[in-house]
Amino acid sequence: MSDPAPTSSTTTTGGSADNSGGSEAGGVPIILQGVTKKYPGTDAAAVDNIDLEIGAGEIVMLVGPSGCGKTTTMRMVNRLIEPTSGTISIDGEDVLSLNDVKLRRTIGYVIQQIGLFPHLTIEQNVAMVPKLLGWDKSRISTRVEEMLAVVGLDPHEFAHRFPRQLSGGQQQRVGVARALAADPPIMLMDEPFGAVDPITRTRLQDEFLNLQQKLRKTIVFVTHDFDEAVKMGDKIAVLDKGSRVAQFAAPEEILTSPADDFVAGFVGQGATLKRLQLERLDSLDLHQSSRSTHDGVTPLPVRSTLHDVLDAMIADGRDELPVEKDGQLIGTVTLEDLLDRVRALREEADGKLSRRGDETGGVA
Amino acid sequence: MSAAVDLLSDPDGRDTKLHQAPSLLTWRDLGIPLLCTAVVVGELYYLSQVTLGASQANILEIDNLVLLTREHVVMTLTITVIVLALAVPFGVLITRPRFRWLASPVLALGNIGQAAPIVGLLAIIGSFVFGFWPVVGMIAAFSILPVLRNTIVGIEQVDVGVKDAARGMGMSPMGVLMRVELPLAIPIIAAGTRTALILAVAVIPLGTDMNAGALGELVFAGIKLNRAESLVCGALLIAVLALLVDWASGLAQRALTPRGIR
Repeated sequence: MSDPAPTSSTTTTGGSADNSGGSEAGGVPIILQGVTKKYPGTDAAAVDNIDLEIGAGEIVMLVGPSGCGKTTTMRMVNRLIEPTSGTISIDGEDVLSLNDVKLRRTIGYVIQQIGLFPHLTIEQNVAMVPKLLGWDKSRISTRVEEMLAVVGLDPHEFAHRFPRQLSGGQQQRVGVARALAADPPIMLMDEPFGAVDPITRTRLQDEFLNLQQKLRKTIVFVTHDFDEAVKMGDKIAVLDKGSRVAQFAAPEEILTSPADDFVAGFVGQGATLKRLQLERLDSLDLHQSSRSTHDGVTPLPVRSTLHDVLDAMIADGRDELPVEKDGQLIGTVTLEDLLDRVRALREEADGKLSRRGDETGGVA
Repeated sequence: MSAAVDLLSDPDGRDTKLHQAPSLLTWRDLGIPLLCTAVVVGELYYLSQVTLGASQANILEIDNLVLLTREHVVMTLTITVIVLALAVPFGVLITRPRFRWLASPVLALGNIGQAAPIVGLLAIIGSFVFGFWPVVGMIAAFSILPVLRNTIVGIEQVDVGVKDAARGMGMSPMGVLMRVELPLAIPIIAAGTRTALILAVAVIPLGTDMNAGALGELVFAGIKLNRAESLVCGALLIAVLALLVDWASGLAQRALTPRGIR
């Protein structure tokens, strides 16, 4: 039948454009130019002249206070909200020239309320978009099984259940599977993990990042949680009222050199600690130590973030901890290493934006 | 560490065991038909035992009872079809964005209409027209209101997140209506229909004066002849019919409700 994701045929990065054989389509770029949404009867535009370039295969986080227009901005990409003016293009194609219903079938959509169809089974929920696209039955059922497995749900156990028989976390896994079912090059996610408990949220975030490493979709991810933005984003767009882009940069850059006071305020306290969440042990030179004084201490996996390392040091009351990789001790890390790294990061940031350097230190 | 936690069992796992799907018919559902059968059999036995005057004997003939019951059922079904054919599409229309502003006035009008005494209306209409259709039309017009209101409420109570997801994944407005809104509104529409049906069964006898037949004839004959047997027989049969209609529409409501929300 018809190509499930027409816009993916000219994939620019990542996966292959052939999505008939089970290989996933990678993302495509999205470009917003002068996009404005003004509701009749209001003076201020909900979204005022936003420009945003989202690269193929990137997770771009739209983060900002309530009412800043981040959700409106996202919803204009699949035209759930029609822009008043401006252009939005996906993979070079102007979305305003497309049929809105067909456009949405090529864009994954995940929302905080999850919105599973309560009267349909998990299988039927996940199958919905492929069905709308007219896939044949056997292809749909293979795909549904595959997608449930991808999000960590056993198809045999869950396919024939109804949404109310699942926990919140499981429901959102289904929500993600449903959005990915037709292999869209783009995903729009509106606070997708906002309604689950913190432990489940962390796990869903981690799993989603793993998944994204394979899929390389272009993802527009709305959140009001800056920590989530730092964790999930390849880039973060910090939005102020009217979707004014206060800063659009990689998380590291926003943490070390916020563009203005608004961004600095949004980053909040503890920017340096947050920054440490982005650095992993394998970015440091470890000390080779033959001492056997670490006998009682659990070694840290080399994939730990520096934040975890610092936490462990404080918890254990030690300034040196062993590091392991695949069960083998590969060295030790010291508190001094962490402080050196923080100093280096700050110098790096000062180099980039010398005027802002002191302020960053002040915020930290 | 969270990595150690089993990925499949969410800590907030609400119900990881498969629900036993509620079966459609249980033993308890047989209570009402059994009771009704017992009442009818008892009444027929009683009628066969008492000596009735000529005038009553005629009217309480078994063939006549069957005929009148059938008339009552036919009127009820006709009213149901008319009500559903008008109220559901109109209710759907009113919940569409373009006509949504109509919802409140229509509901308000509906409530006023329902407060008007149907007996009075039937009496007024009855002084001009007679027969099957005027009575059916009158009662249908009256019974439309609960179905219309429940259609509107049923569609509007569908979770906004569910509707947003449906639109966002690329369902057309018609698709959202047919695949999401209506299926999820069924229990509420069916509840309204049930109310309307019972109302119809109970009000049809009042149309007897308009020459529409049905079980009301027994009651009114009993009143005119001052005979309890006919009156009680009519009242019992009407009550039995109302109970059975309620029972059947309850089952239909359950059967039509999608399993996932039952």
